Amino acid sequence: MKRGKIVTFVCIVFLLLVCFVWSYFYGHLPELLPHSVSYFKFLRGMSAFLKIFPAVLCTAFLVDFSVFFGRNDENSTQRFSAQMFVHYKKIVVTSLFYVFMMSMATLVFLPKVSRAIAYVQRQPDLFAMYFAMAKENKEQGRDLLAYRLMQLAAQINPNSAEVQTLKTKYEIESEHIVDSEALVEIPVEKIPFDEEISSSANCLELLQKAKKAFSEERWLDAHYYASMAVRIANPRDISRSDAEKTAAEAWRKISEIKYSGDFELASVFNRKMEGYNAYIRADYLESYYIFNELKILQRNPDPDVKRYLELSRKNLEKQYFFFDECEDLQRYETVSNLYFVIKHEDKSCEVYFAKGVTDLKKQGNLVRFLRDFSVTYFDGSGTFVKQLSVPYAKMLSVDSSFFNRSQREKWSLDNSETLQGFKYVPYILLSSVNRESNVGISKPAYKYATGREADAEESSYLVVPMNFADFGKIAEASNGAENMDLFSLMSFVRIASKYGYSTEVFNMILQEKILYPLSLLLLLLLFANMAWNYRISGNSLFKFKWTLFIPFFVPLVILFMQTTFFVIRQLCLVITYHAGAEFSLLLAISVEILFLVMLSVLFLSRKE
Amino acid sequence: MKQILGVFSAFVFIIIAGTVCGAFIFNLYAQCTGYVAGTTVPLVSMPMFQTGILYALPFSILFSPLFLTLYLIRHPSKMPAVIVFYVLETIACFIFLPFSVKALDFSDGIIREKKAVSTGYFRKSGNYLCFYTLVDEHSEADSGKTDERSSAGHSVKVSGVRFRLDESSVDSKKIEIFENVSESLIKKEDFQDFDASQKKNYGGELFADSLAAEVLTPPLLLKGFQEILMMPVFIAEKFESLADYLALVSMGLALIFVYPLKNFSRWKLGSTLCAILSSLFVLSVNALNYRYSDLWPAASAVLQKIPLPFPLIFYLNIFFCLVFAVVALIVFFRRRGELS
Repeated sequence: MKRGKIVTFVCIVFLLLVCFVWSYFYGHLPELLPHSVSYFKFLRGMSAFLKIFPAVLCTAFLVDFSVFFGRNDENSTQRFSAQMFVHYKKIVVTSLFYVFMMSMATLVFLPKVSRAIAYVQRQPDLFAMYFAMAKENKEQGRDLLAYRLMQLAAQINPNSAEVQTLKTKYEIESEHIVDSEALVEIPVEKIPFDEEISSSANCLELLQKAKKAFSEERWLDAHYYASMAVRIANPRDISRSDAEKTAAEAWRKISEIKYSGDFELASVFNRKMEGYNAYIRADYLESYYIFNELKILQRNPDPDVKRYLELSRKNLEKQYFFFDECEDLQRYETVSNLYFVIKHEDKSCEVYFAKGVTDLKKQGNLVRFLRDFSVTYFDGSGTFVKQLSVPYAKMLSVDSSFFNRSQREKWSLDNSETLQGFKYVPYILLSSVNRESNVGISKPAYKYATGREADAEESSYLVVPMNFADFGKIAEASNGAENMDLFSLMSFVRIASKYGYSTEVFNMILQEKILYPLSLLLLLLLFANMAWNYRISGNSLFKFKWTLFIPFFVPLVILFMQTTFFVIRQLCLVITYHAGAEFSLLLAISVEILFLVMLSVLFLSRKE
Repeated sequence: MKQILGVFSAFVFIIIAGTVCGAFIFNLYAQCTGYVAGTTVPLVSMPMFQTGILYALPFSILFSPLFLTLYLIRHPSKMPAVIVFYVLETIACFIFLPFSVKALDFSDGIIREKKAVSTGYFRKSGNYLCFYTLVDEHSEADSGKTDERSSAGHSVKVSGVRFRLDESSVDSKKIEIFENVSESLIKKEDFQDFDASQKKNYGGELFADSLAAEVLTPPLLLKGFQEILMMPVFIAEKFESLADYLALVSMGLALIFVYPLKNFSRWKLGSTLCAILSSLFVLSVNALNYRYSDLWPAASAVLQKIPLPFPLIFYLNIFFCLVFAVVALIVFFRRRGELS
């Protein structure tokens, strides 16, 4: 038996050597970026080894036990003899260990290696695309966008001197852009987002804050809180008139500063008031840029500038995201071609598609960036209604209780069966702006069905009526059922058909993965039977030349395993199709256990 | 006597078990190729099962020499049993096999029922991802266009959206919306950017739904083995003349002559390997004669087109018989020499 283990070890090492020699010296290389070639060769060798490893291990098992049984076949003159039970125990222990190794290789390591290979192979296409798009945008005068795209191309291919030179050139040229295009698109909210104002604040609370700020001579804050108090007060609120007086008094104090006579102070003050007025009327984009400009101009920005810049940024980020948030994303895309559908009760549907998805953790929250994002709307009869598309969209997770009744109705948050019982929903920002300077808003493009007019106001954001956690599962499913791990498959199978995926196909793959170790055990029992039937004669020595048979066994075993698993896969699909996802696994396991018992009985009934 | 009965029982078991298993696997395959997401098919279909029996019988007869050889390696038998082996297999290959191949003409050839595509599911098609929102099975065909017909005899018009999956930079091709367009035209456009090797490797035409094709296209080695399993069908397509009969029975004879290799090695597993590889080799070469192979195009062309009085494969099979016999004789005389 020990000699058999040495043979097994030698077979595995030999396989490893052959796979890496093939990959490094003989395998045909696809088109790759120069710096990825060596890494690709390593991955390819590893992939080949992991794919062939189960067949080599099964062959070693067969040969090993064929020799072992040949040396230990006495006391097996009758069926179901004690000696056969001893052999059976040895076979089961060895099989379980081999099944563990093969399962780890096929179900755990091979998918990871395959994903890495796929990414490396995609790099040249992505690089070419970004390079071409950068040059195209440069020719059309969109310098900042051209720089961003060239930056992405440089990150994918850092060794290209041409790209690095162009990147530097574009960077310099993009910094001189000034654009005075007017900005619109302001969603009106009664109270801006401010952590110091709780959602349940009333007029009296805000008035107290205003008076406190007034006493501390923070005139802007006093006016701000007093204005907010007036805004949320009921007409009969007794604090309302007091809040109006406080706001007026604070404004008088502010005006004293304005007319103090200091020219420099006055010009900064005027700009600050422009920003503040923009903030109060909820034009957060304008107020952000003004306060940002003041922050850059002042060596030590005053507290008002810092505070209102931060408030403007937080409110702005609820409507837009920044161009520079999309930097480095292409390289870190985890998903390509993500797609799903949201079906409504009236049979209308929305088809969502994103070419690439990148996950980022920001301040403890998961943020997703969706590249080439589009939503296509169809009505209840399956006819096209409209479509929106955008180069980049930013997705956040939002508590569904945050939305008021009209918003819930608009986004179908109460009607969707996918949303029942779930708290967090995807909130997708469609428009983006520059962080430092006002160069315009990147908005989604809309396309409407013939004869349909454009909607008067298209929103800059979307709320998708689905559980945010489902999005992660869909992202994995888009990569293909065979690339999903077991736990993702188990949770996705229940929701697959809701999002336009086939339950039967995913359940089939799930069953196959769950049954894989049991199927391997069956195969090894079958090989054990073969090993007994065709064992070496008791009195003959194992000749070295017989090891030359082993390489010829491997392709046969590969063929046999592929055929067996192909039949099992078809069986899983048919069982799921007819028995449903709930019972199919149980049925499939029952069938395999039956075969296990039959093969075990067959082995135990062997005799000389 | 016991050994003779053993050989006979083994032969009958191999034929029956092989036919039943083959029919079962055929039914599985037919169900999978007929699968369309969102629709239903019956679990058991008698016509399908009967077709499966007809397809599986010649297959199990072709493989019976190999399995009986493996049985005889496991149970070494004396001359009478060996004679029974040769008699049974000769009758099987010279009489049963041709009849079972001819019987394939009587099957209605149903592999699967064609169904229209369904709505509400994403399907990968060529370089595109398609989503159908409307399927109209009863629309009239556009004049001047040749559309693929469903089994109902009407063209299928579809509406929906499709997305380009590769990194195409042409904006107009990234997302396309189509309304009331023929399904076959859509599919043709989906594949127009496929290069030659992609088209060759795509096995989706066999399947009613590309969702099943994505996960049930067999790997390369298994595809080659499928050609062997489908051989009786290919033989039945042109089984008319004496030459075809001789080509078929010569293949059977070559498979029978694998038996003498059972003593190739003192290690039974080695002999088993030798018998299996020899049988697969004979079957593979014969498969090239009946079907053009992408893997070995030159060999297919040579076998199918060289003009001789009888097909080239007939001479090749006789040659294989001689080679196996000679190898067996060499092994026999070497063993005798070692013993003496």
